[in-house]
Amino acid sequence: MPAGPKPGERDTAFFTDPMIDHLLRAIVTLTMEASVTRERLRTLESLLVESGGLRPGAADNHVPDTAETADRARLRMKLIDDILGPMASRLAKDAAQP
Amino acid sequence: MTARIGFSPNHDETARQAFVGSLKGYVNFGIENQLAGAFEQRIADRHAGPPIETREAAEQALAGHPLYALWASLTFHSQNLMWQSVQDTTDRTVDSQIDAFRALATSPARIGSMTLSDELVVNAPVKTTEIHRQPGGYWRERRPDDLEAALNYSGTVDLYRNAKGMGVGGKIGSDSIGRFVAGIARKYAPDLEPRAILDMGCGTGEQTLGYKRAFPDAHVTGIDCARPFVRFAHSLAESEGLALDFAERDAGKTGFADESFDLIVSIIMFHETTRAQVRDIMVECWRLVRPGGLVLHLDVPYQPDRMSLIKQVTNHWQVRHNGEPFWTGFANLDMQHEAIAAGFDPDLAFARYETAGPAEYHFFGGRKSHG
Repeated sequence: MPAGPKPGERDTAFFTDPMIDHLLRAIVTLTMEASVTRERLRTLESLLVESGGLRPGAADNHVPDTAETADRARLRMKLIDDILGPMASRLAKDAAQP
Repeated sequence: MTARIGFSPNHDETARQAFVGSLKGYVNFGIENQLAGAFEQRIADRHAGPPIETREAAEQALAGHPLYALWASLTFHSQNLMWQSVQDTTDRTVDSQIDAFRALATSPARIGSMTLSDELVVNAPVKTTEIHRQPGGYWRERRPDDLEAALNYSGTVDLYRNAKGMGVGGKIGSDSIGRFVAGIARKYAPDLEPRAILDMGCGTGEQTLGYKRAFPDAHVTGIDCARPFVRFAHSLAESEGLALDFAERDAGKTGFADESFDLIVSIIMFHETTRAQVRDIMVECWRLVRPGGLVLHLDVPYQPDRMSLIKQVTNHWQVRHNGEPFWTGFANLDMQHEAIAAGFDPDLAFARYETAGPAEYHFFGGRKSHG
């Protein structure tokens, strides 16, 4: 049996500095989410155009209400944690080792 | 309304999984081809030292190359992303899928069967390995009647296969590989009209259904040693209106009577078993197949003597880092020899390669003479 990652091991690094791995992966994950969002927007725009439900400029002029603003702040924080969390965890793990 | 079983991503989950497929394709082909070029350059730049003729020497030559590190890191991460992306779908749908399973498995209109076995013991290292690094492996159960492992597997198997250039044109959840194997069976044994078919290591059953569609008059049985897979396969067949039997059994020790099947098949099962199990399974196939019947197994075509050195390096990396620990042991076996050792006539045992578009697969097994 060749030695590989243990079950549950998800942060194996291949560059000399593991931070390069994590930064690379953060970029790829961000790219994935950007791709998903683009596809979502294309779908919505297509549907709205088909239905005639979108006035030109409506999205640009939209101002969210208080609850929506708070919800957007929460989602932004989660996204930042998703991106930077693995790096922080890794550094904390390294720092905890004797 | 009929309960439906299947991996069902929503819009964003589909987009996320499609991105993973594209990323994997980019890394497997674009970056891996660049890596092959870098390897050739590194060999050309060598002015001294012994020639690079082995995988180990090639690994040494590539060690420390930043492109190799980039390829490895991205390959590793693409696998993480793949499991994360399907887990979203599974978490959202697993409870309703379990409800659907229960409705189908207890329906008075049920046309097939499912047999689970509390006596079946799957040992380490097979049991303890996260094959393909699937979180929790194939066996994990976290809730009664769990389907989580099956949903995750079903959502990734074709995505992974297509991104490796091993797809045969099927969408996720299709029976395209099963139909491909059925076509090869007809090619190898055109006189055979199977009455009873056994699909070993049937997984989540999509391909087993393909055999029933290809041979509608045959009695088709699928076996697997992962209980969530057996549940999924049974309820998938019921939801598709196809009468099949599924059972939780070990392919090396099935418990079926001698000469029970005319056609015994498997798809990418052997490279997920130990060498000892390979031999047990081949002996079991010989015992189970009827005179005149065909044993036909499909697996990966990654025998070392067929691959370039750089491909051997990247494949071995998959063995080490991507949950394929049994792959090398299998790939080094001469499966025609194994079939003969199990009892097949040397003239009727085979190990050869077949293509489907750009994909190539290793087929091995044998026929049992009419006696």
